[in-house]
Amino acid sequence: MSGEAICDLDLRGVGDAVHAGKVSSVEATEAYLRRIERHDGVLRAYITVMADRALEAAKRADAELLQGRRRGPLHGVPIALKDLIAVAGVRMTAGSRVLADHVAESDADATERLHAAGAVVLGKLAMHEFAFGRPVTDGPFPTGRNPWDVTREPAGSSSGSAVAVAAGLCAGALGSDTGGSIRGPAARCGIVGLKPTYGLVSRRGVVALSWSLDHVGPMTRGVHDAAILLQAIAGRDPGDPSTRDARVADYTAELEAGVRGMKLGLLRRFYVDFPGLHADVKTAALAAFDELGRQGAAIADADAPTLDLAGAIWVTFLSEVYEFHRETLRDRPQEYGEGLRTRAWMGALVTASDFLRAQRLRARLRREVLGLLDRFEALVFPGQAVPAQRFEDLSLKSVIVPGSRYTNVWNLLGLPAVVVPCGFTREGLPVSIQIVGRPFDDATVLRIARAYERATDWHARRPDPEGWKLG
Amino acid sequence: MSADAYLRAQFDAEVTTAGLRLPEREHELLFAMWAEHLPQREALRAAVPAPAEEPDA
Repeated sequence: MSGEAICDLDLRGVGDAVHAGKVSSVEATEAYLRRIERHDGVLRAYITVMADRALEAAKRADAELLQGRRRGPLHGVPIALKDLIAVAGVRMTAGSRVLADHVAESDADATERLHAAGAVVLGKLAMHEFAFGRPVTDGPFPTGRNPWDVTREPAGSSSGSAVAVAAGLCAGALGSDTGGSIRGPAARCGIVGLKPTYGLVSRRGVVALSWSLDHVGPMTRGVHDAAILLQAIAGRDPGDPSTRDARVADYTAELEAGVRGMKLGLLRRFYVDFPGLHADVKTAALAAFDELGRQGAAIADADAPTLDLAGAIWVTFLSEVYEFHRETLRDRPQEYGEGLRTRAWMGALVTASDFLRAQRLRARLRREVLGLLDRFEALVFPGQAVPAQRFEDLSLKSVIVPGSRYTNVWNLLGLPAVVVPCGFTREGLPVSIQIVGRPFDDATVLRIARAYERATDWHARRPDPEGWKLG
Repeated sequence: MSADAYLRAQFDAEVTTAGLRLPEREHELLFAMWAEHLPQREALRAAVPAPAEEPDA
């Protein structure tokens, strides 16, 4: 099997090829390393490439297979991690000069679990500074370029994860999502992105942005791949108390069960009728919901009035960001990029009573949405407001990213949320739908996403490497 | 005092209360963000929960 053919596979395909002996883990790892070498000068998906460590891990994986030991579907599969997820002994920058020389002392829980599953970690991926900065094309930590159009941003903050997966620079990746940082870039780069239920995946060893909103999750070319990665990283961790009630399921068992007989709520007023929704995203998303209907799901409009206050409740995020950074902001402000520094100051202007008001309204929003999820197995809506933007069109003055209403609500509520590709704009840019489910029912959102995915071929389309040139 | 001047005075007072001392350029960027975000804050303050509505855990 050629290197290009390996890198064109999805994660499950790579795992199956290694298992079947069509390619060794070392050969697969070398193929990805060559592709990174060839294309990452333009795409800038990686901050750190761990070539030697990856090849050592791949040799171990091959040796175990020769001894008849296969740890599971990730055995020998080259993956990569957003550069805020710790790998012991490897630099972890969070995309910031503040941590430019920081070396992680121990693995994150997710990293430990991936190692135990036999995965090969290729490297650490680009991101917006501390998951809250702005997209940049220069400086020490460029945030990456969209493989579908390198003049456009891939969105963030898990920008490198989305770029690497979409461009075949790894077989799958982990990102983190505080207000849409997995789902936004996944949607704009044409891949699957899952924000699991809050408390299902440990945040130990992951640089915090906002404790009550941070989630770690998979970014992959297909839904089955996301289920495989979630299976590997989910579970209780004494090092992260938020996982104490984690309920882990078998995420591939019912993946092909379809949606016949399911009731899905379409959040039409808040999302489909939103004036900021791009016409091509709207058209593609509505066609996707029709497809789910043809497959036997009953789709009806759903609404929660407090959704209108989600932007106001978002002061929760501003407060937590400021609290995490306040001492460093005071002592070493020049080490932050301007995009993060100025926005972080906004949290200093949130009063305690505003913060508590937000938590009371957050509880109200939770009651309303959980009420909807008593009637519907899941909620569906477009995965994003707009497709990928040109770098020069991005605003530096907004504290809240326009269109974040499509994602940040679901961080406030901690519910499982997945984006899955549903087509392209007339300019050839990927668009997606989003599916949100009940707490710890991540298996159902993946099942619905898979039902849609297998009826279409959007997930099988790949960006053309011929377009990965500048100027 | 004009509406703009009142807004500016309110912002400057909040920045002082928060103990922030920023370079002029960042002060202006923060003002733009703060002013843009003001409708959200007003919506938050106008949405009065019932007495029984407790904060999220």
